[in-house]
Amino acid sequence: MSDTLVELDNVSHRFRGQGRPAVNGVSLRIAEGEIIAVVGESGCGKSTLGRICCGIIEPTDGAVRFRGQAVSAMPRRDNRQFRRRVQMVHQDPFASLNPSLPLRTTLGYAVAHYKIARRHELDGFLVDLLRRVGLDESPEFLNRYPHQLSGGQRQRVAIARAVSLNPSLIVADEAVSMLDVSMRVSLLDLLLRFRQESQMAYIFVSHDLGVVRYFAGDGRIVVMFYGVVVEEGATEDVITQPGHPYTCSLLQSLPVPDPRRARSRRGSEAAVRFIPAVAESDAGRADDTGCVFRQRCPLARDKCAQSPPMSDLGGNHRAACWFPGEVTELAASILGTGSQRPGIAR
Amino acid sequence: MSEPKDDVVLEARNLSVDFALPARARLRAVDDVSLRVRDGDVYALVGESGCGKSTLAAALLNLLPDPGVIAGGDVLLRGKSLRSMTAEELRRIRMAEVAMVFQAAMSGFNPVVPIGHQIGHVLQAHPDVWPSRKEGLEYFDHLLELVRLPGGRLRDRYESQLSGGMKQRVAIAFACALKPSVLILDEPTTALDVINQRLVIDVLRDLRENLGMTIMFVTHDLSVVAELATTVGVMYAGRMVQVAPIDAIFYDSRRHPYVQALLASIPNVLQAGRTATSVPGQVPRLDRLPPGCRFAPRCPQAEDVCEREDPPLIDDGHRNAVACHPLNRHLRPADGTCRTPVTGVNGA
Repeated sequence: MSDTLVELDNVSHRFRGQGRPAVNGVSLRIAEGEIIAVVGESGCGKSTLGRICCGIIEPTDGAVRFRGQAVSAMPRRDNRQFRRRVQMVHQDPFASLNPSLPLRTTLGYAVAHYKIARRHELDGFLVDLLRRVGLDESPEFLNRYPHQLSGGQRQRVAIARAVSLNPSLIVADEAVSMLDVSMRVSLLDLLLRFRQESQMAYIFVSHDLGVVRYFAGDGRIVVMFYGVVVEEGATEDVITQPGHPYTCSLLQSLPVPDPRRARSRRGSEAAVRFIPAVAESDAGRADDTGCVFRQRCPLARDKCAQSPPMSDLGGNHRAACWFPGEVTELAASILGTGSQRPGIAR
Repeated sequence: MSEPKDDVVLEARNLSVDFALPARARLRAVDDVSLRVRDGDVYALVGESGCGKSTLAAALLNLLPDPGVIAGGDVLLRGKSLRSMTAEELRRIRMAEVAMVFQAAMSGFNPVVPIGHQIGHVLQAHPDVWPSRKEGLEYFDHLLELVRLPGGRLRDRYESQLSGGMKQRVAIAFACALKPSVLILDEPTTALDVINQRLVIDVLRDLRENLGMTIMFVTHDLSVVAELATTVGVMYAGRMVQVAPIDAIFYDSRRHPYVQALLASIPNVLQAGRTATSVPGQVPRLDRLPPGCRFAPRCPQAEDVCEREDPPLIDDGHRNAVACHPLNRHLRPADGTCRTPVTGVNGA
């Protein structure tokens, strides 16, 4: 087993004024060079988890360790290294770049701060950086402001800023979801190329399992719901044999570019109705001890008033559901496996 | 045209939209585009950012943001020209005949006025549709139930109390409040997570089935198109490059190279491995359009003729119209006449 890069030990975070923690008792181990995809819907705590991993949010409970050292107790020098080695790419490239700064300043500040390039070499370093992220490699381009760039170009700048410090971990929080579908793959390929070059690890936060299967095909998926990890395992296992009803509902919700499949799924009784999310029913469950998904789960019954433990499904694949057998059936009917309908190919 | 004309609800005829900035060249964002939305259609307008699809949607209601102007062509609503209408006539049909849900409609609510009051203002402005405010509000409650939100309770809420997905559905209910027959939505699923995307898709399908609504939506995501649309118009750099029924876009062998490239770029959850490929290059700037076919510089199938001549949009006789020289070659016999005249689809 490879070395642990970042480890979350029973981490919880409760925002001020919120009854329920946004992240509730999550333990996660990220190995050097590993890709972990954190999936779930808006508000499930996946972004908060990503921010905890890179030290932007200090959790109210639990410990974050970077290469074995607790982040909260790090001496200043080590903390500087932690900040440098863990970088973030934010979701919205229209908001994450300072509109009043030219790219030279946006990209150059941290590079100069960490003395990665000398002042007189800075332009050369930054132009090379632009080349590596597939932008116009000219010193003039560094004079541009964010408003002069397209969404895809801005996100490339955000990626350039992250990789410029040669990080060990990049937290990509919905890094491609604001972009046109046609541009997503090239950005994902860019991130994967950097990983090939310098073996960095990724925490890839997304709600789109299609993008996740592409990006984290050889990595792991962590499925979150209401601040809790409900399933985790190798990407292919989680997508082809989901072990939690919530993962099934994510798979069922995802639009697929195949109208015939969409029609057959709509027409068939297999289209299991998940109980739609209503804000009211999800709220006010601060001290609720049962399964977090039971209000929306088609399999829910009395036993779900007790919180199910993470149970082993084999091959480091674990899910928190009392009825693994029924989830398998549910998954089969949603994915169309085990019948004549076109299913998810392995 | 062979099809009966009376079932066309909304039609654009050779529509062009210019953005005329002072002291700058006029930029043509939509160039000679024709489309017909039939009764009960779910018409998807697809393309990358900068293709002119949102501009076209806004032009259909003559709601172009300044300095955009309709530079040519016309929009017909049930055969009646929008360009010949007075401002007052236009005001009456907007929302009542054709309603629009703009991009990021969820940020269009007034944060300090409850949702119910905001719909009240709309009802007040259109007494011809709802003479009784009470009945109008009851209908709005019914619509809220249709978009799967708790009707009456939601009217007392403020915008800040709703999630992004809920706001998008409230915006859709808003747009339907005056019983329009056509609903135009700009990027209705963008910026929503998959669960909310699925809800919006289901809700739009319900609206079409329960209220007999004709729907047009703008998107860059062909997966959403596959789930919802019946007819698809694909735009590229201000031009319509393919108009076809949904299945032709996904399964026909006669597909515009741009459509093929867009489809190949989708990371599909149904496929293992890294099978998707991005579309190389980017949409040209409107002031630097290439000669000939505008997609030619990015097209793997481009030939010499593509770089010289603009390809016309030609129908194959099954309502599958494509603007591509290599694809249309066999449709044009040597005498130079088209097998199927393009009038009606392209209008030219």
